[in-house]
Amino acid sequence: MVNPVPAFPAERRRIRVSTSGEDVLLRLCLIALGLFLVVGLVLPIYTLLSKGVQDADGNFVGLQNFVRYFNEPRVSVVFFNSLRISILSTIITLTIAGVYAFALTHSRMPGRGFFRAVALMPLLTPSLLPGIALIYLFGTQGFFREALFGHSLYGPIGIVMGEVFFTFPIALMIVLTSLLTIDRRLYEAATTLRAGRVRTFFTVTLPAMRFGLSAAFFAVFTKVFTDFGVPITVGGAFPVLATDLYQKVIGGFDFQMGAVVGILLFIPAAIAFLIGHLLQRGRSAGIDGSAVIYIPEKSRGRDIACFAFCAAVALAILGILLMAVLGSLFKLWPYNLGLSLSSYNFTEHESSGWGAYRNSLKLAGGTALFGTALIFFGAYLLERMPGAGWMRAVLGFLCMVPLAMPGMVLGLSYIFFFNNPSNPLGGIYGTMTILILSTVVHLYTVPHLTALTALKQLDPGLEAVGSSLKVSRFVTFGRVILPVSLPTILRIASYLFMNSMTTISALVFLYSANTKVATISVLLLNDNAMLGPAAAMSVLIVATSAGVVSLQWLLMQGLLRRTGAWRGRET
Amino acid sequence: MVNIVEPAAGPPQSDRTESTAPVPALQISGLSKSFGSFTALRDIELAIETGEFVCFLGPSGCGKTTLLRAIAGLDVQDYGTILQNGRDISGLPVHARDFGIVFQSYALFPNLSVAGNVGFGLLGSGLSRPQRKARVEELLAMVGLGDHAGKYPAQLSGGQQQRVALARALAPSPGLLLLDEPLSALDAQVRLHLRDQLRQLQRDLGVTTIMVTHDQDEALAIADRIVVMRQGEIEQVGTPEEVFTHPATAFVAGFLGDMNFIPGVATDRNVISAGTFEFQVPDMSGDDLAGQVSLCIRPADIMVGEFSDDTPNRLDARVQSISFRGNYHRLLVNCPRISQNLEIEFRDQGQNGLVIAEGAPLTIALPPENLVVFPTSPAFAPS
Repeated sequence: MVNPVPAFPAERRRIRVSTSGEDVLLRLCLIALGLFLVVGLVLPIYTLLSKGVQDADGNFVGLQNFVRYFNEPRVSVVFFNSLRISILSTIITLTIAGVYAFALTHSRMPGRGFFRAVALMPLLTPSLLPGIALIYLFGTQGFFREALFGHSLYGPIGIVMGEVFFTFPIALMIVLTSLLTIDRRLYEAATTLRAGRVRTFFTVTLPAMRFGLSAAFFAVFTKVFTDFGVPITVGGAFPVLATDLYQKVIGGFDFQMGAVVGILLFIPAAIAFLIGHLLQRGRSAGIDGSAVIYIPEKSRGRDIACFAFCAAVALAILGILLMAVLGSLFKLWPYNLGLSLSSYNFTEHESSGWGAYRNSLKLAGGTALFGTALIFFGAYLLERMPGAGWMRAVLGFLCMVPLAMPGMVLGLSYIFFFNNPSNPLGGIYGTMTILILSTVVHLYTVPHLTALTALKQLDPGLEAVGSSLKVSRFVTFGRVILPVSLPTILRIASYLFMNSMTTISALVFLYSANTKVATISVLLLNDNAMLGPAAAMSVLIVATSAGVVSLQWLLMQGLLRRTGAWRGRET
Repeated sequence: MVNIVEPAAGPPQSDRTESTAPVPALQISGLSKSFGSFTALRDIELAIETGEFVCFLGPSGCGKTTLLRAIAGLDVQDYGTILQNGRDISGLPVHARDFGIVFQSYALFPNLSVAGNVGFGLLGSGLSRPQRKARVEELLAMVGLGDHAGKYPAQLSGGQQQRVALARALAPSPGLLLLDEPLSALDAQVRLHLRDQLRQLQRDLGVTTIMVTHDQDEALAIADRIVVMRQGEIEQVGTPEEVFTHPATAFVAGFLGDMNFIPGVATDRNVISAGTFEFQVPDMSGDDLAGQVSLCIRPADIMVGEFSDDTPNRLDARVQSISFRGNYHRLLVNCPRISQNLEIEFRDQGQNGLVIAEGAPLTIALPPENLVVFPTSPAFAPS
């Protein structure tokens, strides 16, 4: 029995697993997902990239467009404007978020839950909202314009302020996670080794934060670099890539230059995304779920300092939100500060009236419904289907790409791809369908990862047991996987709804007169100097997002109560 | 030039009639599987009789779980065939095979009650609702969980969950029960209890069972036959007594229970020299044991005390350390003549005033009938 036997005698037949109907169906589903990603992502990006190296007549011209672009004297200015703004905003955001996260986890100041909730509120807003609120606060007629010491809000100052507000919760969440994973026993070990407070901070706290901070750096940088809402409202005559792209395409119909700017917008964002992704991947390998949560000791001085800092930040966030609400209620700012609801009477301010808001609800509803089903089932196929290895690997990679795609670039690529007369799918151009499609693709990655994480936690043997009991995978999916994953599905749906309500980037290029959504309406109202109605529409968007989040919370509570018996302790 | 036509290579077809012999429940032949460049299974040949309880035993990475998953169709082999009751199931998908399976993690459906879990596989079976209910009750009573039908898995203890998984696997009355380390997630006490229960249940039902385990005690206690595996190959197949007392290889000897290994050289057909000592061993003339060999003896088989002059294999030794193990003492003794330490399980039966203390001199004897000799395997260095 120990005689060496040649492993695989050549004449033997390799075993092939006979495919069943179920396998065929699963593979067809996987192919359908692949088709969706090819049509919604790969082909549009390919079209955009090829447009960048073509002239207006579609002839290949190599990098000539890029040469032309960089020969425009204004151009390098715009590119470096974007870079400077992004780095500055990122550094400020990270500093504030770092201290804020430290205060939340490493102090015993009162109101930690409140501060945490307030910090996450900017997630509910479209990025146009901080711009509008800042105009009320620090604009040429603003209440606190003197605070800028004669400098104009419109330009770098306004953009940085708005971006810090907008990206603060993103940075905070990442840093907070890295702080929460510090094991209490590390602090206990440091104490028993007689390390002082300062030394403990530098040897335990800061190294743990460093990963979070660097990951947050790249996330925030990407967000600011590609953001459109803040610079379009308070950018003034200070051009950045996103607004430059908007003007080239919408103002100048220069699609070749548009493609070039789009590619320029995409590359740094993609690089930042890749580095951030690699960082987090390396990090997550080092975390085991068994960390004992650190409970800080009482320290009066530290707690007071932390409280003062958090209160100031929370005040700023609430101030901006409240300013938007107030702005929407002024009769005629800055002349008549009496309060009325006239700004909410959208029919008076805009031809589409409430239509834009209704369109937003349609878009958000459609995205939540269609996107949740697609993303969750897609993640199920990629995570738990047997076989089809290479195809699952390719699709898994494609599912990550949208995170690196700035929304504006995606929107632009959709123009190129779908507005082509030879495209049989061109019929969806200008309809709600293309808005939903672009939004699902734009938002794909985060819920996809959420679903993957949840599905990974389920026992890998569930389907195998089902199959051994001669129960189809689809039945096991419906009777077990789906009910168990309901909280995740709810979370995904709420994420998609909320983000479809507040997104604008991809949509600026894709909406038509009939499909104008609320965020576009805010943009146009602001363009027409109707600040009050613009504020009113923004507030409506925030209120809707907040409503959906509350609804999700309520449903979740009910769900967990009803299924608590089998879920055990789970949040 | 003359071409000599040779008969086609390959094993000669046997002419023995198999119609009278019972068809084995599982007949595995030429089974091989690799993951990339790693060979997980190499040319596995195995037959399992109906009603047998077989354990696949081996260290992690030996291929035992891969073999089980190949039988289940979860990781289909690259080459080789599997016949179940004579039916070729080699390439069949999981649901077309006939088996029930219990995983180490149990993989219970968390959102279904105990009854829902057990009845999961009965839905498409053509049984009416009352019949299904009766079958579920019968199974739950069988595993002693009659009172827990309405509970959810999260509300059960580990041992109870394991029994639910077992009942669920048995519900459709499969012809084969596959158990993938079903006891290793349990506390020691519960494990011993469930081990006996599992054995009893399998006897009562007579279902052919394969259990994968890395725990030699478990395999010895529960199996009709043990398949010892190493590095994707079968080292030995036999009853627990056979593999324990007559290990086929040095690896099996070392893996099942404790073993002393003494390196030596075969100098005669019944003599092995190690250091400056010559051991008397059973006649090895039938075996191919030239040159370097390993001499093996279990710690419990070494005798301690006063011996007459004609007692073979007497050695002077000195106690290095003593540790108390409940029923016996574990001695580590140094034997200068073979320049090696040996482990001894010493049961104090009042050997005429014997003093066992650290540093004390001692005489030991290694009875030839308890010595086993293996060629020194380059791949396996006994420790």
